[in-house]
Amino acid sequence: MDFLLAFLSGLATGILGALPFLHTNLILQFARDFLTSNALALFTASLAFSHLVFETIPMLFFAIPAQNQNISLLPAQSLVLGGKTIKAFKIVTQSLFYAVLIAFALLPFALAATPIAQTLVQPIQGIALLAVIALAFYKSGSQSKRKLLLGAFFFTLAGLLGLASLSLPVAREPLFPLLTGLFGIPAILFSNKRKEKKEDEKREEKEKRCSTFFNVNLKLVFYAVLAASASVLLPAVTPALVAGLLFVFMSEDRESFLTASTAVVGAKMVFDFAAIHSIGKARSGAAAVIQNAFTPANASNTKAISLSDLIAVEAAGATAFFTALALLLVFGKHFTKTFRKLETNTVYATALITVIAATYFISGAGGILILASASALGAAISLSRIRKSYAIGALAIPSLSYFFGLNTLFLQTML
Amino acid sequence: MVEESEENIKEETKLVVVCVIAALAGIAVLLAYARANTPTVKSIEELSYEDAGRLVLVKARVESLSVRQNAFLKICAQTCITAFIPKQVLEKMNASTLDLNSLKKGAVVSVEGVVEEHANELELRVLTPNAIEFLGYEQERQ
Repeated sequence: MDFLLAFLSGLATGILGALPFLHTNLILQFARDFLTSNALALFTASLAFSHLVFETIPMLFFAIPAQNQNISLLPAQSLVLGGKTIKAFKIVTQSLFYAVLIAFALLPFALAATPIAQTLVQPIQGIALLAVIALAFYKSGSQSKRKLLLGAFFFTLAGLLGLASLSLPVAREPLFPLLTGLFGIPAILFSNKRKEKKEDEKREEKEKRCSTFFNVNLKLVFYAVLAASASVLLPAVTPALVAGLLFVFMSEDRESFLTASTAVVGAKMVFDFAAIHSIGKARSGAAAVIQNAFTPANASNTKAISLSDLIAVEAAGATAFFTALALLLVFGKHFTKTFRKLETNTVYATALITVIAATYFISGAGGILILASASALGAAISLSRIRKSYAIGALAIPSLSYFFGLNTLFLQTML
Repeated sequence: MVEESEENIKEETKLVVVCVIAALAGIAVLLAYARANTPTVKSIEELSYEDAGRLVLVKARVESLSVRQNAFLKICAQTCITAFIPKQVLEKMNASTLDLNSLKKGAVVSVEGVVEEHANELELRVLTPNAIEFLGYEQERQ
């Protein structure tokens, strides 16, 4: 009975994801005082999955990067502000649905393969990441030399900004203003520019009608799930970095990127929980709470959880996820219709003001500095007509410097 | 039509240059802001989630030390907090400033680090090798 109550409370509390900036970790701070170990684990699993579904609301409609889905803001907002709210909503819900479904189907294979893959990858973590980035640049070789050089320049500049923002003590939650500036603000600014063109408006109307029959690209969802399954092998790999690296390899159209980035976020949660059994590593705040909840109070270190505990956690998560998604589909459609009536220039201004106010609220004055610099860089990349994925240097270079031990050198030099 | 397009390209190139200069200036300001950022002296009890991302300096006694690849130094006053020392910082620290393994339970230290939330607990992330200073033993100080 306690477990059922814990599960239902987690599912219901996850609805709070619809409120911007209410992070799962903050909710868990309070929940830990009221729940016993196993009930806390089930509560956390159902909360995390339910929150994941409902946090799409502020991201889609109010241009506010969600806890897990901050990089999805670029294509989602670009679509919403371009008058394709229904399409964006369909992409997000369908991608989440299929990604979590495929991730659960692949779970037995992931449980068997992850420990072996981790043994192989651990000694060469940095080199593996470097190889992925080099491959991405090699694939960009089809572009002109000028664009490639410009891309390398912006990748490096974004990396420097990423290092300064993420390594130095300048702001709380620096990732939020960094990604909002690089992707969100230019998306809002340039959607506005597009909106002025009458031809586009006509095309949007046509696309609105087409979006009624929209289906996501399942092949893309599958690749995103595979990338998410590999992400647990390395520490410091956020869903944003995985999605960003995928972005480098694939078509840059907004629909494809929104599909892949949403799918990564959904699937990563399934594999993050699995990793606390398969390799004994917690790769997210919620996974850490579950691992601690199953660790005896007198144990000096956290350990891998048992298979039966993992099955209970994943089952609770899956049930919460599909219930929450059903609720979102029922209520989200009404919300989408209402929101479409509001699509005017006021929405752009409101979105910009909300993002700036949210940055100050979450990250403080340092966050505004990061937001301003990142927005300037994001706008420069958009205006240069090169692949926007070069902005991912902001995450890739800090990760590389971490794996190669250069972070300490950077900090010693700068502080 | 072609001229107009070239005009647009020129205009956009100018904008790109302005944006790049703004981004570079922003990075420079961020670096200067970080350098000017001096640690706030706080007791462990005073630390809260509001302090996340802030550079602080705490004085406390060593409770335990766990060294794997990275080191975890548990320090306590009335309550406890863990100072996380990344592998690279640890190597430089042991080689130059302070051999962490020489710290015994009860040693009083000052630790400078950034307050972070990890696994739903507050911790201090030590950034540089000279961030931990040995101040003596509790008995000596009394």
